[in-house]
Amino acid sequence: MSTIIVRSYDHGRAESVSHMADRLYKLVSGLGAAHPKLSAWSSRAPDGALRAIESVRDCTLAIEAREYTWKTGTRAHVAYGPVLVAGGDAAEIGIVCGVAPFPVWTPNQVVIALGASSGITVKDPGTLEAVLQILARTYAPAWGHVSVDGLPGAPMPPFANGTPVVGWLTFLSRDYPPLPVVLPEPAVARSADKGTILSAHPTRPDEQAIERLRAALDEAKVLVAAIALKSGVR
Amino acid sequence: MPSAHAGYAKLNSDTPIRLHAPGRFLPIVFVPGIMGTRLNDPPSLPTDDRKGTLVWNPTGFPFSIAAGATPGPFACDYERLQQVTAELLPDENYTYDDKASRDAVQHIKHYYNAVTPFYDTVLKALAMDGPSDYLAAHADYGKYNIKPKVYFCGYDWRRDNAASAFRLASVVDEALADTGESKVILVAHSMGGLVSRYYCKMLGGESKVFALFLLGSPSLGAIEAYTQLKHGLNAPYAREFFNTDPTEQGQDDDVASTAISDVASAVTQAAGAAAALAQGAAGLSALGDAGQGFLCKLYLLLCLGAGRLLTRKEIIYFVRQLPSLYQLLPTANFCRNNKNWLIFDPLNSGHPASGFLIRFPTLLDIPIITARGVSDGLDAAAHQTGYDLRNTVDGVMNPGTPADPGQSIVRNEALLSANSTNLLDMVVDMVAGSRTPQAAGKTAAIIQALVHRITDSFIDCRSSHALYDDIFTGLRDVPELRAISNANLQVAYNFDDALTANARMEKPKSAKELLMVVLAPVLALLATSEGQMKTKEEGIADERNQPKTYMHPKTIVYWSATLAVDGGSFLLCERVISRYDTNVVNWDLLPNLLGLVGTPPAGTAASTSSDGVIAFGDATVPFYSAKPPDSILTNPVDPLSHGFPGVVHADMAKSSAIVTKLKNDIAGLQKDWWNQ
Repeated sequence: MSTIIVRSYDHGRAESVSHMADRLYKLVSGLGAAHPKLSAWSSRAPDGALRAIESVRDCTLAIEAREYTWKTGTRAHVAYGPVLVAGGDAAEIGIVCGVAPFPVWTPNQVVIALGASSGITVKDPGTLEAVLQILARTYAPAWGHVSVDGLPGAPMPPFANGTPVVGWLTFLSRDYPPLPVVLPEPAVARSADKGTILSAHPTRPDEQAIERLRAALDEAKVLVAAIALKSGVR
Repeated sequence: MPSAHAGYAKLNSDTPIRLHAPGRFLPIVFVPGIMGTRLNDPPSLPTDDRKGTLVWNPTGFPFSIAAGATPGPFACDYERLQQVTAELLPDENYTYDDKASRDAVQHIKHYYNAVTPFYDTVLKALAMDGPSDYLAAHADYGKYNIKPKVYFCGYDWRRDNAASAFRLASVVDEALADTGESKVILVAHSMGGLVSRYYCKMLGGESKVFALFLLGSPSLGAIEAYTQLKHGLNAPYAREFFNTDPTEQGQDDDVASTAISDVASAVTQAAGAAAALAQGAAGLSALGDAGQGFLCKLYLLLCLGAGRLLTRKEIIYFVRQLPSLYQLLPTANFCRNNKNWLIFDPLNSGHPASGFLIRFPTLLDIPIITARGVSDGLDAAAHQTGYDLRNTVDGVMNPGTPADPGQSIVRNEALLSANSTNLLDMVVDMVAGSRTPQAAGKTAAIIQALVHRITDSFIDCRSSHALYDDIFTGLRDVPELRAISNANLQVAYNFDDALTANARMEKPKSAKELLMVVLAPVLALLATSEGQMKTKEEGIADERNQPKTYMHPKTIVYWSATLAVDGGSFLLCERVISRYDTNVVNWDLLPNLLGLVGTPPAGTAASTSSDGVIAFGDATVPFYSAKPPDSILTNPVDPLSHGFPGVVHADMAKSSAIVTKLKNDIAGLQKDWWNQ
């Protein structure tokens, strides 16, 4: 059974809690439409207690329960890290949000881990693409991807520079340079909210196909660091 | 006391008979590398406000996947970290906040000491997969339900490795007490290998260690350590941000007062948008990708922790406070017989000048880079050494610009070359006695080797005689060097005296003086202290009788290109090293171990010659550093043909393969243990 993770990143976005709660509620609502096992979510408090997410208000509480401050020197920063679970261990959403733009690549991100009991497998690329679509629509990330069995791995802020990491499925926002006209077969590009979803292979997370797609995007100078984007590190 | 035949019994016979199950799995103690342990202020601090405060947690929230995914918040307390005399303690106060994650690591004792993203994969692999996985290749044992117990040995990685070895001793004892076994298996990563070796050799650990696995450990030192002591952390300092170097212009205060959040605007104002993209915040953010030195990420973290840009002087001062970094120096093999052999004097260390990039036009245009420590290729090395040149030779070098280091280096080379011709001619004539392309190429190779060797050897501040002896080791059988005279030795020693008198000299006064620094070892090599050469056979005998580097009897070394234990890259070579293999002075392999930078000159062999003199190629750092030359990776020397027994090369491209191999090897050793 493969481990599937859907991730997305933005390059720094200080938002109000209400705005973040609105995004989160739209996300969990949308995921329910993508797959029935992703329809009932609960937030997990730092003490492990679960609370059902049934409204924007619940999302607000989930976010406020996970407020963290951190410092650079004497300057205080705030970040939020709500954690949501669905169907026991079927799926988990880990979020870092509310981190303002910063001279290093900010770690704002959404990570959706799909467990074995979710029933979603690599044999269901349509569902995975739907999850990535919903993520793109609700969080408007700079980029995102679908990772299978650790490929590709996650970039590790603050050591990474925010350059998109190509996966089986990859979302790129419109901020990135134009895609190459011709993608290496069998990769295809499909329009998505505020960007494009690239599929390296129609039926499976083929490592070589992913690498060919990555190389093509790299050659076309699409995969640029966060600093190079208008929405990037400021 | 557990028997060495645990799991066996004797029935009226001297032959042990296994009754039912083999002995328990030996406990595995994992020793992390530098920066790999989360650190706390100790609870015994006199001031309440810092007791138990997290000081080092570089991947804590928000620099983690999500809250709780990496225990604890981000912490990098620059002020506390540089106070090396005050010990910090491995942190276990923060844990995963969901039960499933906690359960997944429950068999790993002191797991929360770890900077988890670095070590999570290998720790879980060692602990969680269970015996069936370990023993997959040993079907006769696969049926036994034996759970390996893994211990993580966190330590204050800033301090002397000897101190860390004492902590390892306590963790080993804890593991033995817990399990009732008499020995452990040590798995060490990076600097943890030095800690482990010290423990084995100096603290009596050998009797408690069944085998020692070294994952990318700098047993021969890390070249980069030297560069970082000399230059700081290979980071884009304020020079890059402001298109100048404020530290050279008395503007440290300006840099130090620049809040990290203001960097972007400062860059924009000072350097313009284009330059900002090329050099500014992108450079800071891209540090993690740059890979310029194994500690370069530390600069970024320290800046984040301090909330401002740290000046070059600050960061050099910082790294010079770390005893552990000195113990990573090349040739500074930590576990020699004399534990006090390494001179530790951070405030008074006058690291002699040693980093220059020089071209020798009379020697077929071979670039020589003596200050290595950059693993990203020749360009990066040239970039760095270009700075050295500009800093080093007053009035001689074109200073170039940070945006244009390549061109400035070319100009510097040309100037040096113009001043070097006569001296080089002299050396070539003396050493080779011939100007044929082959001889010149070989001579150049020798000089390159010497230059590298002197670079490495200078840094541990040994006496000139010991230094030259060391340089001479391994090269004294080069036929061309036999036609030497004692007079040259005196020349070399005279030069060394001058260098010693200027121990803090970092700026030779002229290009000629600069060349003398580099060529002094060549002159030194033209003689021996005994005034005569030894034969190759004598040299081999000497080396085998005088091991320099201690290794546990069962030491297994792994290098891997993509070893996930630290998210970084390591080399692709596996070697099994015996107790008396010094792994540096094997006679025939020495030239390869030296590792050379540059492309093969026309008319010379591009690979190891039949007499094993040299290996050209795209080498950027020597074989024995943390990142080997690509030429060795792609076209490894067949060690067996060089009389280097027990050496095996393996191309293991993925960390999962490394971990699998590690586990298989542990299983094999475990079987050995059971069968003893």
